[in-house]
Amino acid sequence: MRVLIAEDDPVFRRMLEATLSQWGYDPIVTTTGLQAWEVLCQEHPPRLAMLDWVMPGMDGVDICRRMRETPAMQLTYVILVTSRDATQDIVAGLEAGANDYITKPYDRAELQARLGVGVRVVDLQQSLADRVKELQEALAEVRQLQGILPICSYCKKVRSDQKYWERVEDYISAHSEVAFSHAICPECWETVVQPQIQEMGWERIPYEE
Amino acid sequence: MRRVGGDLELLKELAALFLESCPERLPDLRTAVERGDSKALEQVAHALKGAVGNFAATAAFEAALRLEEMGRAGDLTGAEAALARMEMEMERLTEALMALESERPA
Repeated sequence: MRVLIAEDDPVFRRMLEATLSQWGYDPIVTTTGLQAWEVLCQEHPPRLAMLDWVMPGMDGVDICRRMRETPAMQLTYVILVTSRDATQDIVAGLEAGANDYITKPYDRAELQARLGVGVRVVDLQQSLADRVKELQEALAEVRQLQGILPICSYCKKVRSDQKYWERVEDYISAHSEVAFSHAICPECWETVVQPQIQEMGWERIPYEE
Repeated sequence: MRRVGGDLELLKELAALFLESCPERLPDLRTAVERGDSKALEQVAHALKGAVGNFAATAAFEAALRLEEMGRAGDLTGAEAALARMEMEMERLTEALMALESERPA
């Protein structure tokens, strides 16, 4: 999974890049807030981001605020990296829109665990988004059964959206989960089938379901 | 070593990066103290604190932290002493990292 890193300290940046690679992530490394913002503005931004709090120019908190105002970036999970551990700073960061924070120097196990949380959240969001898409597609198909359908008064064929006439059962099978099992109703049994039976010289056969 | 997952080559790489960028910031600290510029002191001390923290250099970290706090509070009393401490710790760290660079891989 791609992880955006925004960090101005070269040593910390390299360490983070190496550590994330070791753990199987795909780090996208930037050195300033502006660079990180440009990566986020791309068509499919990384779903995870680790942003340094204090950076010259656009800092981590600024980026968080801007991200939360941008619909395309809502799905990105942000961990703010801060050496400020005063509670009010943490609150400010979380309120600005970060999902989590970690203080540096960080504990490796803790970072790995917090990233794991991020991955879970991202996966969950993705499956929800997929499900919504499925439901929308299903709903679009269901809507096809509403509306006005021209039907032939004689043979009962219907004119589909593709502008050709087809049998009712073909139309309904194509647009729903219904399957037809062909049978004969009592009236048609009497008016159509019974005469054919008698024509062949047989006895009347009573109607059976 | 634990912080780099036992990767000596990575540690050497990080040491090199540190040596490239940090020792030259040390004079900025002195300048800030001499000018009484608490904002600059806070910023430079903060950056150096982060950098030395990567190497678990506790003494240097704490010295930087003290300077940063002085800068933030705008009260530079005792800054000279703290600065002397910081400079000493930075020198020790720099020497240790340079020794690391010349170490042969195990």
